[in-house]
Formats: sequence, structure tokens, C-alpha cells
Amino acid sequence: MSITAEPELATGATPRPVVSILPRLAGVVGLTAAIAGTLRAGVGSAVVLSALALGLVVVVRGRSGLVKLVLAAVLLLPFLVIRDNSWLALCIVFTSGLVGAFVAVAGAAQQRVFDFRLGSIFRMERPQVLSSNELPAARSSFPLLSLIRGGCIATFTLMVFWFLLADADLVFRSVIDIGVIPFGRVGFGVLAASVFAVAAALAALDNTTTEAGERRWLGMLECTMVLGALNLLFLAFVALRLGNLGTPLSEDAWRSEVRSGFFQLLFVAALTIALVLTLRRAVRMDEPAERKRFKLLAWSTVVLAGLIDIIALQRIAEYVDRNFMTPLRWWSFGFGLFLMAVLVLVAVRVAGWRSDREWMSGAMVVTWLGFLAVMALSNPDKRMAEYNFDNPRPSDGVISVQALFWLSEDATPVIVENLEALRPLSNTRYERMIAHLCQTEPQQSWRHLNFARSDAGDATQELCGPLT
Amino acid sequence: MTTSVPPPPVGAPFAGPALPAPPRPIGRDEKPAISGVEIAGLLGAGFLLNIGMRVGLDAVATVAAVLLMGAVLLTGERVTQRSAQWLVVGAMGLAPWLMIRASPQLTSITLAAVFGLLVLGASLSRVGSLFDIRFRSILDHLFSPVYEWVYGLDMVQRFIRANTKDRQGAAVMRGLAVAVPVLLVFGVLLASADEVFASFLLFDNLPSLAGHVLATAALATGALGLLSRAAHRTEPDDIAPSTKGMAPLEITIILGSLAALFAAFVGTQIAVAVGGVDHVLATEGLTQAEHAREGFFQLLWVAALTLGLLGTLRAVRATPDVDADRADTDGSDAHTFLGTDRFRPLAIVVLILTLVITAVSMQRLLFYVGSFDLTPLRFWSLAATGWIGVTIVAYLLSVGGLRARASWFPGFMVISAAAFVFGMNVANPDAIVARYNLESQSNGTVDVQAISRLSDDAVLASLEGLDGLDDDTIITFSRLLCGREDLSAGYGLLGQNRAERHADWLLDKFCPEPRPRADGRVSGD
Repeated sequence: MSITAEPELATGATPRPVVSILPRLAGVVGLTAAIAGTLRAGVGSAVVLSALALGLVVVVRGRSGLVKLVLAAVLLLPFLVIRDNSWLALCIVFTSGLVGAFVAVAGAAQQRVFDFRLGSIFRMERPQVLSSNELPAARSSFPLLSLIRGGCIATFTLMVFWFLLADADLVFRSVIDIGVIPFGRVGFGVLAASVFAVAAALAALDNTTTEAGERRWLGMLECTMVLGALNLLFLAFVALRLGNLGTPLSEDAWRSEVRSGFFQLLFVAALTIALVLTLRRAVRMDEPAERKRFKLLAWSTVVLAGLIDIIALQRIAEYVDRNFMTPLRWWSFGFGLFLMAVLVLVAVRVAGWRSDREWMSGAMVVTWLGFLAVMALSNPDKRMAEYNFDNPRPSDGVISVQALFWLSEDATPVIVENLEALRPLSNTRYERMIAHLCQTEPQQSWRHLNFARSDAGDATQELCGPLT
Repeated sequence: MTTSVPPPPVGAPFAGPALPAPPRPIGRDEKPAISGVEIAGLLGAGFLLNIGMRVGLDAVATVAAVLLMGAVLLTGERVTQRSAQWLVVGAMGLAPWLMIRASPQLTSITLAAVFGLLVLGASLSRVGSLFDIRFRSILDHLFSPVYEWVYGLDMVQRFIRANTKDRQGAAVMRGLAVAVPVLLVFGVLLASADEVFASFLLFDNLPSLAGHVLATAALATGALGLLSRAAHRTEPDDIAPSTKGMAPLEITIILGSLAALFAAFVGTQIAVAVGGVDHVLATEGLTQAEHAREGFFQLLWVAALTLGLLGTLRAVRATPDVDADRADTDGSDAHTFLGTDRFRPLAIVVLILTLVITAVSMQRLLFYVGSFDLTPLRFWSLAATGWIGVTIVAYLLSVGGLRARASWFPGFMVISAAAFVFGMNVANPDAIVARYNLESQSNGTVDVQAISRLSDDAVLASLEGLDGLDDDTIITFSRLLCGREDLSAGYGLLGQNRAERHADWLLDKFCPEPRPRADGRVSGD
């Protein structure tokens, strides 16, 4: 078979590599799913996650600045043992999973933290270890590879179909009982091992990213129209909001506006970040005057988006003041602050600081890791419990038992300490709270060991007696 | 001119022959321009869709928009291939059902089918064939509207450059086309976040001029993507060559184990049918009838996933011709690598077992419907099961070697899906549900609350079924029917829907009192 090329390839033009996003997406999803599947928020999951992450570090050792990101993510893993907060655990697990998967799957082993672009993931050479032309040659001399690969894929396939069929039919479940737990563990083990093997193989490649020629498809006039119109829209919003600051709203209108409007405003800020960064790549700016105009327009957009973000944060703060602090409100507020930090980064990027490097993506990842670290160190559930006890609802002086129910066992010691504050409000609330606290489960095994849960058990022991 | 391509840089653990040269995307070198008539057609379609979105998409306006869009594609000589023309005509033929039926489920699925047919028709306008196409190409085509409008803007820009001497005019048009969708997204977000701002923008008062202009421009820009797709040569198959690396041994392991699992499941069903596992049912406190009513949806998932799995394995398996090519290139032994290809027999076994599972699934749902009432969800599930059964049979024929030279199965799925949607429109699901429940009266009662919640498609069947009910039920049912809102939506003829209009006419005659209208007035004002 003769392999032929397109005419312009023969003239020496650099070929654009095959765009192959699916294997990478599959890797990201698979690795994340594998890691998330271990989530028990205890020693077990921390050990598995650390092993996976450190395994990746070993594979790409000495090759990449991005390995530092994996190490930074690994530093967050102990909080799976220290805290019992499921929001935090989810963020840490997915962050470490995604960072690990990115380093592995993006083949970003040769890149530096503050000099790579997220977009480069879509423009890399197809990893040859997975290509059709490589594996068969290896398999012909080593057929065991086929056996292993077939076994891995078959295990995963059978797991999916077996769970579906067993869920569909009681008789099948009873008769064909192949042992859910052992089967699940073996299946999960095979799945995680195969995903990790693929990720490690990808990470070990020398597949350098090929920068495709940038297509700046938008002129300055078009960009001016887009950003100018957007600035007018944002300005109108901000002006109206500021102009109506003193106008009292009815309780219902205020409640619906704050509850539903907050997320839209955060979404606006996030979309603005994406839009400005996209325009920066897409707009033709040949003259210094054009660059100056873009800078001015983009700055205005970012500043106005920042003000909208502040309005969103102010709304949620006001809502918390009038009601209670809940995990959703806490994390939403935190995410708003994270967006604010990213907006600052975008403003700096637009200003042209260190324009010789692609530092924006790395800075965003590092900011997110920093945000998670602050969240983990601050022990959110404990702070929320303290806040709710210190700030009863102004309208009726009630401390919401429901809001305390939502908190994890990180908050148990604080709740036990302040339990008497509930008694004057209502005896029923007090008793419900005690019943809730006494539901604390003892540690099942070393895999589930968690310091927050241990502390919670100690705190409630006097109240409920020894755990059984 | 053709030239051998040097192997790409290799850093993999296994050395091997070169990858095929990545071809460039085809067709973007062409620089087609839009015509004035097409711009007018797109703006018209955008305006009609904007009206359609205000009145619920199941109205004359939406149908007119689809017909206009189809006419723009067909009359502009962009769609030259016969199968592509039939796809566009199919979309135009399916669209009128939008204004004939009022069921929300039916409207959604018909809209999706119309959109899919239009996109595929535009994509296959000049190259490719519906009767020899791969799933991956279909997915690429269906995904194309996300980016295709950008190429459409290029076409508009060329038109303006060709017709004006003012270079700025093209840029202004292009800027407007980009700015309007952006403003629309941000405007809607900000307006929904703040009532004061919403009233400032008049977004809560949609018939405003600004709302019409913005929505028309945004929708016309979206429709521009269809035109651009039709105006360019698009061959996604060549852009991303598929991997053919799955060895026969791997295929055998995967399909063999799956066939064993399915055989075990089918075996248990046979055992239940002949009463061999009564002790299991007795242990769980279930009767055979109760056992037969569970797990319908999971089994439907099994059937659908099996089709996906087999399609994927078929696409990635190493075939003799590929292996022979490889052997020519690198001197390796093709036979050693390939072993025995058991894909076809194993796939046939798996498909036959899946067909049995699909039949079990359908039988379970029929048992369920027999014991309880028919609901729109159950009716749609039954119909979907039938369609999946047909596609499994078709895939069986494809795997069995029918017209093996062409990849006809994906095209068959597209056509059968369109026929399925057409058939559902003809059948009128809500009327069938109402008629069945009123006639069967399972458990000796009729859930008139559930029937009254069906769409206007079911009103005629409901009124016809009143005779079979007792007096108390008739009074309750009549009160519920007469409490339905008159859904007259405004915009004159463009806002009309035949089912709603017919139902309003029937209920106006049937009900003693004027009915409430959606706008707060009463019917007959």
C-alpha cells in the first residue's frame, strides 16, 4: 500500500497532526472515574489516590514541570483523612484526578507549569503506543498482550451488562450470583489498572505538542463591536444595580432575585473570562494602536465583570445574613472569590505581562489548587457551625437545626459544645439534634479511618454512650 | 501529485511503520459566497423561528421556518446529491406535523428529527452518501452546527465585499453577527438575575422590537450554519482515520464472555417460564406476574448498549485487508497476528440473544400496561423497543454480510428513525393513551386526572370515551376537561396549532361555561 500525502505536504509545509480528542477524553473520564470510585474519604482512598498520583510522577520523573502540579494535588490528599467534608473530598478527588489525567493524557510531560496552553491538548500527535500500526507488531511477537487487553475490556463490559441485567431481574440476580463484592473489586481493580497503564504509557511518550498556525479570524472592528456592546450591557446592569441600592424590594422579590440571580451572575463572570481569552487569540492586532484599543476594551469588560461578581457575592452575603450559612452558600461564595482571582489574572494577561510565556493556564490551575488548600485548611463545616450558632436568624432569633444537619462530622465537636444554645429555643429541636449526633457510625476498618470522624465519636461519646 | 510520506517521529515503546499522512480538511479552500436571496431566506426563517419560539414551536411559524430553510437549501443549487435532497425533503415533509399535533414529547422528537435531517442533508450536499456512511461521520455532521456558522459568516463577508466598495461594511456585518448572539446570552443571563434590569431591557415584554430583532439575528446566524454546511465540501471520514487495532483474540474474549452472560440471562428467563425457579420467587415473595413487570428499562439499556458495543468493535477490529497491507509494509506475518476472526459468528449469537432480551423487555412492559394504565412514557417505551428490535434485525443482516461493500446500517438507522417519528405523528400517541385507558379501565377504574393532563391531541378521544364511564366519573372528568386553559397564543395564523385549535373548538362546544385562557381572560372574550 502506498501512503500518499496531500499536495502541500510534499512541498514541505508542516502537516497539522491528526486531531484525536476521544482517546484523551476517555482517559480523563476513565481515570477520574477510577479515582472517584475509590472515594471513601478515609485512609483507603488517600492511599489509592496517592499511589496513582505518585505512580504517574515516577513514570514522568525528571521530564516535566507539570509533575509539580501532581505533587501539589497529592499534598491535598491528606485532607481526605483529616476532614469529613464531602464537598471538599469531591473537589480534591476530582482536582487530583483531572490534574493527574491531564499530565498523563495530554502527554504534557515535556512542558512547564507556567508555559503551556490548555488548547494544546487538542493539537498533539496521536500517541503511537495506541495506534493501529504499533500494537499489532508487538502482539504478533507477544500474544499475551492481546489476552490482557481483551481481558481488561471484557471485564469492564461484563461489569456494565451484569449490573444492568442483575438490576433488571431478581431471578437472574439470585441464580447467577457471582458475588457482587469480589466481582466488583476484581473488576474495579482491572479497570483502574488498565486506565492507569494507558495513562502511564501516554505520559511516558515523547510526543511534543505541535503548535498549529493560529487562525486570527476576527478583525479589530468586529472585536470592538462585540466588546463595546458587551461593555454597554454590563455598564447598564452595574449602573442600575448601584442606582437601586437603596430601593427596598418586597421580601418575595428579594428572595427570588437573590436565590436565582446569584448563579447567573457567577456564570456571567465565568463566560466573560472565556470570551476575553478567546478574543485575545482570535482578533487580528497588527498595529500598536489596535493592541492598545483591545487592551482598553478587554480591561473594561473584565473590570465590569468583576463588579458583577462583587454584586453576586454581596447578594449571597446578604442572603446568609438574613438566613443561615449552608454548604452550598459557603462554596458558592468561595467559587465567586476564585472567579474574582481569575479575573485579576485575565486582566494581567491582557495587560501583556510576561507575554513571552503561556502562563495563564498554569496560573489558573495553581489558583484553583490554592483555593482548595485554603478551603481545606479553614475547615468549612466547623466555621459554618460556629457562624450559625453565633448568628441566629435576625427576624426570629432561630438557629436552624436543619442547616446544622447538613454539616459533616467536622462540625460535630462545635455542635456538641454549643448544644445548650438550642434548648431555650425548642426542646424538640434539641432532642432532634441529639438524635442526629448519636447516629455517628464507628470506624469500620483501617481503610475508613478518618480523624474528623474519630473526633466526632469522642465528642459524642459522653452524650450518646460508646458507639456500637 | 502523490509522494511517499516519511514516518513521523517515533517515541513509542514499539517501533513500527509510519502512520498515514494526516490529510487536510477538505473543502475549506473553496470560498463560496452567500447570495442576496439566501440572506433574505435566512432572515425570514430566523424571524419565523423567533415567532415559533414565542408560541411554543408547535405552530405554523416553525413549520414555515423549516419549509423556508429547506427551500433555500434546495433552490440555491447547494444540495446536489440525490440522497441529500431526499433528506431535506424528508425534513420538510416531517415539519408540518409540528402544527398538527400538540403533544410536547412528540413536538420535541419531531423537532430533533427535522433538525437532524436538515443537518445531514446539508452535510451530504456534495460528497458522501447516506447509504454508505459511518456513524462517526454522522456524529461529526450532527455536531457541525456548533462551529459551522463561523464559516457562514465568511460567506456573508464575501457577499458584502463583492457587492460593496466599502470594506468596512463587511466587517460591521460580521461584527454584528458575532455580537448579537453574545449579547443575547449575556442579556438573558443578566435579565434573569435581576428584575429591574429585565424590565429595563424589556426582555420580560418579548413582543418588543428589540427582542424580535435580536432573536431573529441570532436564529438566522444559526441557520447560516446549515447553508454553510451545504456550500462546502465536508468529508469528516478523511479528516480522522479510524483505528483498526483490535485483534481477533481480544474480540473473541469480549464477545464470547458477553454471549455467555446473555445466554445465562436468557436461560433464567426460560427457567422462570417453565416454573423451574419457583423457590426463588417464593423466597422473595413474588409471583411470576410481578417478576415479569420489573426491569424493563434496564433491559432496554442492555439492547441499546449492545448495539453500540458491537458497532465500536466492528469499527476498530483488525480486518484481513488491513493486516495484509501491514504485512506488505513491515514484512510481518499477517496470519500469525490475525488468528481466527470470530467476530461475525459471535456477533450474530450476541445479536440473537439481544433480540430475545428485547422481546423479554417488551413482554414485561406489556404485562405492566395490562396490570396498570398506559401512560405516554410507557407508550413511547413500547414503540422505542419495537424500533430497537427492527434495528437489531437490520444489524444482524449487516453483520451477516448483506451488501457488505457499503456501510449502509447507519443510514438505515437515520431513515428508520425518521420513519419512526413520522409513524408516531400519524399514530397520535396521546389519543391512543386516552382511548386505551378509557376503554380498558384496568382495575375497574379510570384515572381521569392522568387523562386530563394529556395534551390537546387527546381531547377528541377523551370526549368520545365519556360514554363508557359512570355518571360520577363523567362529572369529574368533564370538570377537569373544562378547566383546561384555552392556549390561543397570538400572532394570528403564525401561532396556530391544529390540535389546540380543534380541542378549543370541541371544548367550547362541550363546556357550559367559558374556559380560562392562558393570558388570564376567559375563552370567548
